[in-house]
Amino acid sequence: MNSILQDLRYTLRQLGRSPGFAVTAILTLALGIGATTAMYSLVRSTLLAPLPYPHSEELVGIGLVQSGTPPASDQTGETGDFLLAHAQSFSSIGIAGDRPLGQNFSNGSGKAQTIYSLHVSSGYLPTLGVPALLGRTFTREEDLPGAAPTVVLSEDLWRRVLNADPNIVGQAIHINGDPFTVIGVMPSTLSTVDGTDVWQPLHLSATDPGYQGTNFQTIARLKPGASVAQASAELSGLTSTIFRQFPDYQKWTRPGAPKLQEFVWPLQQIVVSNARSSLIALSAAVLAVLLMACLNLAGLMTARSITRKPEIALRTALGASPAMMLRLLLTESLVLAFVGSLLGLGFAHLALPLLLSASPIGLPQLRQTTVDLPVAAFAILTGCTSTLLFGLLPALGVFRQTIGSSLGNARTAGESAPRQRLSKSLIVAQVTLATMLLSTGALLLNTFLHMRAIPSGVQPPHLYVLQVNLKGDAYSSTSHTQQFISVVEQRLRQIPGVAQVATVNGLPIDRGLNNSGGPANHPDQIAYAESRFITPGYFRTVGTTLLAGGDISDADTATSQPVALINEFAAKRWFPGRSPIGEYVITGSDKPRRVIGLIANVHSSSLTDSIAPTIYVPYTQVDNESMKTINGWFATSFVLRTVERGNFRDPEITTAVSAAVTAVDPEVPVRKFVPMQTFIDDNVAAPRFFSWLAGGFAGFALLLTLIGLFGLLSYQVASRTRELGVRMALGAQRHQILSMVLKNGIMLTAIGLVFGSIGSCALRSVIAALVSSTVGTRATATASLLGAQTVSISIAGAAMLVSAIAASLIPARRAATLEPTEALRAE
Amino acid sequence: MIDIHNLERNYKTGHTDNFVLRRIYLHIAAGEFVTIMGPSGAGKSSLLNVLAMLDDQWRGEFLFEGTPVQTLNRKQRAELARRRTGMVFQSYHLIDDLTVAENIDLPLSYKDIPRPERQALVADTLDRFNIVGKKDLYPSQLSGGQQQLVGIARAVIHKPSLLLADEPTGNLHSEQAAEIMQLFRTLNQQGTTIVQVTHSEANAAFGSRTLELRDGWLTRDTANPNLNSAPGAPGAAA
Ligand SMILES: Nc1ncnc2c1ncn2[C@@H]1O[C@H](COP(=O)(O)OP(=O)(O)O)[C@@H](O)[C@H]1O
Ligand SMILES: [Mg+2]
Repeated sequence: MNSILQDLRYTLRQLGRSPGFAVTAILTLALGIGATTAMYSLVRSTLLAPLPYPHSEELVGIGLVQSGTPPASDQTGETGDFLLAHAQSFSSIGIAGDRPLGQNFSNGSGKAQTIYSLHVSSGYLPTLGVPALLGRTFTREEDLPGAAPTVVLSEDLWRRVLNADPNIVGQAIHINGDPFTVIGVMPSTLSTVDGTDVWQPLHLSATDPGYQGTNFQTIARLKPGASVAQASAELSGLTSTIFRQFPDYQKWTRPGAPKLQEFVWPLQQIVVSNARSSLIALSAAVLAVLLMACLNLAGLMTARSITRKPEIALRTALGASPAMMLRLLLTESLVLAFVGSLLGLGFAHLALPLLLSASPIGLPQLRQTTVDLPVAAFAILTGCTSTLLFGLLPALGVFRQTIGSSLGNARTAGESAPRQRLSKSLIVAQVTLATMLLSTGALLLNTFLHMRAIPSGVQPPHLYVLQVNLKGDAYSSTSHTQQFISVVEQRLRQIPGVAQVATVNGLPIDRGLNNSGGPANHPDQIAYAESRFITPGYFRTVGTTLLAGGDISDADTATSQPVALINEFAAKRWFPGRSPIGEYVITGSDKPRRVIGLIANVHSSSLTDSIAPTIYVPYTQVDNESMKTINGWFATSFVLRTVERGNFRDPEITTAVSAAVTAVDPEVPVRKFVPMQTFIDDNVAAPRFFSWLAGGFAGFALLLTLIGLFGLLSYQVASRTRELGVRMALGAQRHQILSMVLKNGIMLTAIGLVFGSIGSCALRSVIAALVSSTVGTRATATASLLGAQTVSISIAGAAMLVSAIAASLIPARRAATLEPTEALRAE
Repeated sequence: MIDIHNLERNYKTGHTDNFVLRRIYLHIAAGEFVTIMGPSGAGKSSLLNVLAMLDDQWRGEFLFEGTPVQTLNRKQRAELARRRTGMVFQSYHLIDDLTVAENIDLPLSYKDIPRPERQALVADTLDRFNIVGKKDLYPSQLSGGQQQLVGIARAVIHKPSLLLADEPTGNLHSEQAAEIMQLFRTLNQQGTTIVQVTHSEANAAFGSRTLELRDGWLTRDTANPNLNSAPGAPGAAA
């Protein structure tokens, strides 16, 4: 015990004597451990966390998807009902809407606000198996179409806006202006997964407009003893029956694409499916950073043990046993590891909230992401393992040499060849990793810049978007919706600074209805097409070019001839080689519409989407059924173009804008009031985030490489001083010495660059997958987004070389300014 | 070949000047084989460094083959040294990760000599020193005597007129030392002027003239028995 304390004291004194070494080693370790720990914590709370439901291992999701797609639970209404009737492997099945939908909630007194509601079948909540906190979940009767309106609240909403009223069950709350009877409150564990505020009955019926689309998700609980594989086998047996019963699904698959099929996945995998590839890619980057830190540490420790050679030799000569020397080394490594890990934990603790809030990908928090005991244990274990492996082992090698050789016997000039080779390989490995991180950063940055440069099809400067949800019975008719829209438009026009106002359901770079559509006289050409609903002046307001024909006007009413505008893409496909004006198109089950205008292409849901055939229909000519559907599914967007001067974002205007809405219907809250640019920026948020992150990692890697290279070369110059003296005595000129050291650094960098470039090329497909999973494009489209690999590698190479020269210059200059007579005397 | 007048060299340590060479007057003619002796710390290596033109912090006059070295700038001195002098070290100072042939080639690599000519010179030298069989070995694979042989080969490959050797046999057995001295004698007979530092009388016997340094003063010169009357020398009249 006493001797351990003594070792500790001695170690601290030794480290105190070389603060440069101690600080560099500890910081290097702390950053490596910090990044790794933060990432581990994140992965632990998502990919590795069980779902917070009883016997969650029995929970699965069933998806009707193409083989090869990531885990998903998409179903159509029809196939959901089919599974309910036929699947045998499950003890219960639940169907829900594909995502929580924005609704307008008001509790009488307060201001209306947007809440998120998930529509669920009566089997859904029981399948999850979480008992209600208060009351109960839906009965089968309550889930039948036409049943009295009921709602289940989340604990969160109940506490937040209903003051945790213990008598809430049985009372009514107002959603979209309509009363709903509260029948239960579910504990908060449920809403942490998808952020649901309330659950409402799904009322699934074959007459639902979305019944035949994949607008639902299906979960199920396996019968005791049944496995995912068995369930999968059963369902793939049912697939052919499904296609026989519902031949229409062939229409939804593009020709040549893999067939749809029912797949079963553990529900956990479906929940984390979207974040999975991003998290895995990030983990890989973080591991690379940790490895960099370790390599650097190895370099530092090796160099340090060399400088301590005489001390060790002396101690050995004075009788210290190898075991005692080992203990001393171990103490030093562990002290470094401990301090480094603790600091790293601190970094992780600070970085995690930042990372979570900055992340544009939804990270389902199945467990709280914090630095808790297991995470701390992970950090310290990683710290100690890496220090012992990368710090102690190389140092031991040096010491074994020292103890074996006699004291201070140097016959030759220069250092031993194997040791040099070790330090050199460490640097090469560091350069390799740093190059890969750098080129990845450059690649992602390039992607981000590429995406940002894609024309959206609208003119974002001075364009603002005011979004509202028009939900409930009140907005199930065209006349009421139309009335609301035109009064709000009028009021918005009166706000000073507003030049033009129009309305659209299905804003560009947002979401909107995809439907079937095509030329009226060619029913065989009717296929997937986007439908958008607009008021007059919409194109002028958003700045989309009218290529031919005219816009809709106030003369286009419910009773006038049905008209539409189509985009260039649709015109080329449906009416090749001729003007589409005067032709007729069909959208959904609508009557034929006369095409009166041709519109430039606009990206419908994301900048990276391929352009789709699009049909624009005047609001006034939408039938009640369709109006109910689009209001139920999508937000209504007022677009405002303002005069060129002045700042439109001051609070007064925001107030005026929201007053314009509230004055017309106090039950309708403003969901969003933002510049159009925000939608575009959100769209590129993922690549921007990842390029920042990769840039940060790459910067850190570059810094470590600099430190490593600088350290190695300085050490080489110091330990080869006499050799340099000899070279000068033999006629080497100063510039020759300078270039010799520089060449040394550049050679090592160049070798690392070659390996790093090869590695970067191998990484490309991984990055492509990451980009396509975060921006929602098919991988084929991603290739062009990524840009040329040569560019990113050149950028990485240039950065690496410039840094290598910078890192080599100081040691090289030191070597070149040595006095030969002094250098020759050096030991 | 060498004419030195009133050469002085001191090292500043802190505030005190530490003189290591004092009022040296020395003439060495071409073809001489001079031995410098004296106790440790007397300034022998310092004098050799001046002669090798590695040092340029001295004061006084130094004529090398008629060129006043004190008027040359750093670059010119280095150039002159590179062409006309060769140096042999006590610890051989071969470079570890270079082969014998590469070590020998080193001085040539710092000159503008075409590659074929360099290769020919290296081959010649290996042959002359009977080490052709060892040309691809590394220094650590050679005995001390063999290493010094390589060291000498390296020092004379560019045919310098002046060969300087600082305790060249200090780390060798007397037998090996005698061989090295024999080699020096041969080189000297072929026309190379040699200045060596040694502690061994036996080695000194191979030379034609012996100097002695004490505390930076030239105190004995077998070619100049009247040295004691040199101005400023200890015991001389002030
Ligand atoms: N670079 C230097 N800085 C300070 N003192 C030096 C330096 N080089 C030599 N000396 C001192 O000069 C004196 C002569 O040294 P040196 O010429 O090496 O002696 P010798 O070769 O005769 O043993 C010694 O006292 C030595 O300590
Ligand atoms: Mg000496």
